[in-house]
Amino acid sequence: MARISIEAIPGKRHGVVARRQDVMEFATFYENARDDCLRTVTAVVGQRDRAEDLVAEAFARAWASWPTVRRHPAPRAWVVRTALNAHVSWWRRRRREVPAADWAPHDRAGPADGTGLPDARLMAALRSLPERQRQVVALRIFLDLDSETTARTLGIAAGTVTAHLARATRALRAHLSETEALR
Amino acid sequence: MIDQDEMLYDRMRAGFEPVRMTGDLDTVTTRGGVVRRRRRAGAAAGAVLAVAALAAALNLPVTGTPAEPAELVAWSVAAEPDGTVSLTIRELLDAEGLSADLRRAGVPARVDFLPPGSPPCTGDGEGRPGLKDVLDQQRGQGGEVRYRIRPGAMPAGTTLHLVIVAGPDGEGAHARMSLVDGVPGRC
Repeated sequence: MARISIEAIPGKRHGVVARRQDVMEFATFYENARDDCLRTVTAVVGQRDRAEDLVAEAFARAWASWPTVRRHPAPRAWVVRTALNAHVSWWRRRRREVPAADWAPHDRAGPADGTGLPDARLMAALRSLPERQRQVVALRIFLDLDSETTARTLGIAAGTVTAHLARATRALRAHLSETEALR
Repeated sequence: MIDQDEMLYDRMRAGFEPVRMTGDLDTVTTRGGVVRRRRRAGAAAGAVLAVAALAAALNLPVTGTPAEPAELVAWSVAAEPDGTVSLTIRELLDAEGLSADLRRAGVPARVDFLPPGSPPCTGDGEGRPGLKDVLDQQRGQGGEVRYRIRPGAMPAGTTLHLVIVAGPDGEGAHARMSLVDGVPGRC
């Protein structure tokens, strides 16, 4: 587990013991949640390196507001929701300020041998879904959220979540069945 | 059907298994500290302005602590021990925030990020000579652009104006730097 300084503590909880608890809690949360959050956001936005930027920023904001986030009923969903909100903001800005490729060429997608990337067939299948279906199915698969929590996270009705999940699952199975025996 | 759904989900989980965060916890908490400080800075801005106004009224010197490094995904600003300020730009985002961080680091500067196809920014005219004494530019190993700025070499009352025009996807951007008297012209 990575070390972090106890000087960098958000909030107003006083005392060394409380601060150490915050540090340990956040470090444990980050360690346990970061990969699942990255997989969820990657599945939604479709770009592994962009997703890592978004998730890193979302975890940073979680740390900045840790006294609040630690009490959230689904902190991992909070991180993913924050990352997806940042993605929307980034996309809106990008329509006005397009970063040229050579200004952000460093690919944090993983080692140069191509590991660290999701299965290309699965990514293609996910890209074939409408964005809302991608969000619902990604939260279900990678964060294992139930319909109620998914609904609260996305700000939609639980029944809508169920319908989106059913359609997304059916579409994914149909897409993948062309190359795999999943039916 | 439920079993088939779970098989599909397991297949998806297995296909994403190699996807793992490469960033470490220190980077996240450092950035979190920046977010928190900015939040507090916003709340404290009014108080700082009041103190500055009072100091000006009483003709007192206004002192402060050296700016802490700003490390963001899009860019970084850091005051170096030799008196220079290092600037790294990775993405053309939040020009106003970058300008503010440069000013906090002791560089009177304005940054403009312009969309592709923008006309040349000619508001500064020729600008003042001596820009080479103030600014060095180099390309980092990752392709990002790095500047080393010497605020001590800037004549009093001048502002460094950095204008970067994005290219279309897949093409390079270009930049124009000027050292101007007073406030830079609008692009």
